[in-house]
Amino acid sequence: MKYIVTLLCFFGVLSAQAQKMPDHLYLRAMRDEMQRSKKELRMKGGPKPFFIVYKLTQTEKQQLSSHFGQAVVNNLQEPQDLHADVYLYAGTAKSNSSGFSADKSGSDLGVSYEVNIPKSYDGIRRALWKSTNTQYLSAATLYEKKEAYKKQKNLEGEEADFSYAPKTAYVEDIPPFTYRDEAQYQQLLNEITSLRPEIKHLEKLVAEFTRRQQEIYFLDSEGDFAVYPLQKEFIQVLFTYRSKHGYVIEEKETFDLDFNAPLDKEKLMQQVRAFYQAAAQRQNFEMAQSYIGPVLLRAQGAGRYFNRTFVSAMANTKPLLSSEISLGFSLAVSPFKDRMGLRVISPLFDVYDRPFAKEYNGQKLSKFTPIDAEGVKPQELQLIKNGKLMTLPTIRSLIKDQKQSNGHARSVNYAPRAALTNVFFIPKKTMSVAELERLFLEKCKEQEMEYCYIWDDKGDANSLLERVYTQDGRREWVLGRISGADLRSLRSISAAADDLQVWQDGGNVVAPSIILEELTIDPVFAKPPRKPFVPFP
Amino acid sequence: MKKILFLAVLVSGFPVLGAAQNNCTIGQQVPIQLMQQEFKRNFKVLKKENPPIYYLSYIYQESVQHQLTATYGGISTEYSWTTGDIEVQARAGSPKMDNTRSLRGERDDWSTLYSSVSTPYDLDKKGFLASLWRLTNSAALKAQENFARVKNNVRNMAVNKDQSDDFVFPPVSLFCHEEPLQEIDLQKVKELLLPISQMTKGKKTILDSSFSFSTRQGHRYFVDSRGTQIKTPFSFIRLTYSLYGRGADGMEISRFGDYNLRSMADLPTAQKLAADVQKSMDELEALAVAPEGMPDSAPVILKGRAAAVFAHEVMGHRLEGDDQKNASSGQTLTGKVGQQVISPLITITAEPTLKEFNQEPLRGYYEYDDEGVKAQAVTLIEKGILKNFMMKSSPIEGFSLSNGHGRKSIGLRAAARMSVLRVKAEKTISYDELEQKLLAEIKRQNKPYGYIVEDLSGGFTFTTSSMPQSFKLETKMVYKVYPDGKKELVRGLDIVGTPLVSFSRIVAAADDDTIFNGSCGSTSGWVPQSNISPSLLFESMELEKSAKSHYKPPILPAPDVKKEKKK
Repeated sequence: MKYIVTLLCFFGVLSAQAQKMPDHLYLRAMRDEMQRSKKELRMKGGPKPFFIVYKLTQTEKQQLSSHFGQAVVNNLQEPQDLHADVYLYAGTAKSNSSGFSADKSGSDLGVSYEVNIPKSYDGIRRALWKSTNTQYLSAATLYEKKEAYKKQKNLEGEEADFSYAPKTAYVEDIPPFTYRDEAQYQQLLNEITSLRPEIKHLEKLVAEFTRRQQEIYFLDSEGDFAVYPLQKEFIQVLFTYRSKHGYVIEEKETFDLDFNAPLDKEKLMQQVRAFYQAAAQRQNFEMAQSYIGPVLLRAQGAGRYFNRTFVSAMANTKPLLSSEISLGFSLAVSPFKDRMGLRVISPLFDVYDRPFAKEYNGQKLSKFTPIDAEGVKPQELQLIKNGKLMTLPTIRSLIKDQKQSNGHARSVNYAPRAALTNVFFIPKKTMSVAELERLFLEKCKEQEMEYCYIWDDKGDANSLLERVYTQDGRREWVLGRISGADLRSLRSISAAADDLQVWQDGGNVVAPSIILEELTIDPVFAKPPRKPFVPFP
Repeated sequence: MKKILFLAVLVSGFPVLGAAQNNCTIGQQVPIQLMQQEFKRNFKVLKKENPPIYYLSYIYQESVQHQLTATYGGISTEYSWTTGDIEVQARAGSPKMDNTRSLRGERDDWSTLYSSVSTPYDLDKKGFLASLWRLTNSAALKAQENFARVKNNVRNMAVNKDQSDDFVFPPVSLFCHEEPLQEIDLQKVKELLLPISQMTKGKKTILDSSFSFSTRQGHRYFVDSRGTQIKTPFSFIRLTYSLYGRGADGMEISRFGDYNLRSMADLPTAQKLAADVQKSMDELEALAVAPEGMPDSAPVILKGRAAAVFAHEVMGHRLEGDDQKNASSGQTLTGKVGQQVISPLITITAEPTLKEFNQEPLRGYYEYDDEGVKAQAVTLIEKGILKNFMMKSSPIEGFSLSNGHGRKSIGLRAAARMSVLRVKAEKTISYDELEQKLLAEIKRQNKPYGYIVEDLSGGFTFTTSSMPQSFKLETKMVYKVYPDGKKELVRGLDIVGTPLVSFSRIVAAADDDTIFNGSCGSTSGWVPQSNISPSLLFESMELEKSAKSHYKPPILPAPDVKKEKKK
């Protein structure tokens, strides 16, 4: 059962008719400590705590693995972890400790956390009490430094630091965590590693099964709350081999499984076989030469490319105030901040952020977010229309011309900052992958290229790429490095296929295969290690 | 004499040692068979390389571990897991000079090649062999690279005074000892710890507390290129608790309790544990309001546990063989064999062969060290006269063989380290008499008071020559003792000093030998270790103020602490 309750507030007065919080030990402890902190936590002569967030995450998981056909290190009993994140703004709605750093590395923006919290009322309250105290001291210091900085820079009278938002609550039943049959899944992993890719110098082959459930409990000092599970189940297969040039190549593939359905073993084994076969075809690769020209990114490669360029650049839309001149990369302000209405990506695309999405076309998305890190219900955003920037993700600390947060405060290690969730790159005009490849070859011929490259996210720093010869369409694999994938390159996407796929490796992107008019491929600089003294046993 | 005896063993052709406690057949152990198989294949090639890999050893360690922690009536951690680790060590060059030589003016590389592998091993022989092969290749490359660094360092830097070889081949041993693992009943532990963990609830002084139970049991397999094959068991079962608080001035205060167990049958009863925790809570309450001590020099009694830590930090580390050879070390005792170095009252021994003391298991016990050398009991200092050092398989001037003290954690090279360090007194008196002697010493020196150090949390010492050869012991419970016998608890004092002077000032010892079981961290990692000492009276020791935090206690009291009414 799921339900979302969003009640409007007027003139900053929150409705008292909020959704009733479920009676749960964790929520009770959170609520009681929150009430005490709001009522009693005061530092003499210092700013008051203004906004407090408690988030408890209980993680339960089952992991199994197999190595060259047999079981590896297996836990007898799986660990559970109850983890608390606490952050707090001190001051007032007009001016508080948020959005300011007095440290180059942003260490003063950190969230206080406690791990391995006992699953008892007293244990949870104590963990929250300690973290709240730490956060309050840090927020009060930050507030005072920020006030001094604003005076020094004549910044008084800017937009308020905190905007009110409709009250929200989200409750989803959390089923008890269940374990898969260990013997059955161990046998499955053993079969996967026994199968083995036909690769000459295979050095390592590991298959790992992970089934994980996170229970999220969120409460803020305005009474917004959420309770929901995040579930994930997958098998990752990884192997390394030594190429004819002596490089140690790692191939890795993650196969998502349905957390709530029985295993479709036949389908999985087909996927594994296909992965092994494809990897075996890549093993006799050549070395890439320097190249500048068109590149076709298959859907997975496009996912990584969009994540590195567009998605990263959409974070931190509200610049941090700082007494330090240069903040680190992860704290830098979004380059899109002042480009509203401008074409920032090829007109072929509309781009959306869908925080509530749990899957796309049967493929799982892992960043479902029913409440943001500042207790606001997230909105689906159309970020790009016909390639033009339409809107930005925002938080409660508003940017010019915005009236309220659109629920995109995200907090990972740092106090909340604006960021995207599940980003969909929807092409307005598509063709089949075969047509895209034909078009790609035509472009290469037009530019009188001897060959062009296709990339499918194989490897990271050094990538395996497909070299396609324009004369006869012959293909071979090469090892090279992709560079030049910057924000400007987003404007040079000239075509897209209809094969949208979910890419997940730190982010969640849904994207099709695309043609980039220009990208740079460099040769691999690192020398391979020497040949082993003794051949593989 | 000792030197001649060791040489006699050397020329006698590496006798096979340690058949006495065999209770299994070493050649039938699957990990040994697998290691031998891969080992032969690799060593045949590697010994012909340039520079040659002249010595190779494999360790496989399998263990089952449990961890359970209770706090405030809830379980915060509970897990059990099995691990299997393979480690490969290679020596490039020759015993005269190899890749392990300590570099002058450069940082030494203490790391080894290791990897987690399949457990149980018999399910994954191919994976086991593949891991060994991969690690052996990397270990050989690393040894050759480090040997090049050594050669360069020897050519460019000043000559080391101690010209002993870098390695002596350990005697060949064939030894197989296995023990069934103790059954662990975590439910029983939970039933013990959950109610006890509630005892700290509502106490204003206690900011945090935890009650933990941990076990690590298993077997270690060792093979080397000389033909040694060893299997030995290990078992560590421990229950601990810790209580933390903070004085109004920011000073952190704590109490700690530990129980080292042979089996579940040794678990303390709920009554015993509750009484110990109550005592620790009372001590913490007393510490919170105790006055802060001031720097001083006065007669001091170190009670058993504190004396054991003192012996470990102050003298133990200086009796480790590596300290004598390394040119960067302080070499406090180098060249002093046969000389009176400390009080004639004191004898210090290293006894890794001692399994239990007063029915408590000793964490520093083992049958073979981490270089495959049989553990030996060694008298280090006899009646104040330096006799010997704790040795690994790296000779030092005057001592050419290991006495089974090469110790390390997985992933690091072995160093000469302590095992069970024992302080013995030639003449002892009862503890009450020792206190009377303290009072007499206070009066004799015309001091306003002396000190009794009941407990230490630990300490550290500098043994490198670039630092002063001093030590610091962090105290937990210190009493000021007035000439009339009145005692007053103080806090915030640490003991400082230098080793030779401090040990020379021991004037009496009690008959209350006490154990400090712990783990010691050094260049070769963390190793389990035990120290046994009687309470010791020092003519004089220097006490200085402890470092303290500048943080206030939390603004609000803990949620389970009742609010105090405003007066």
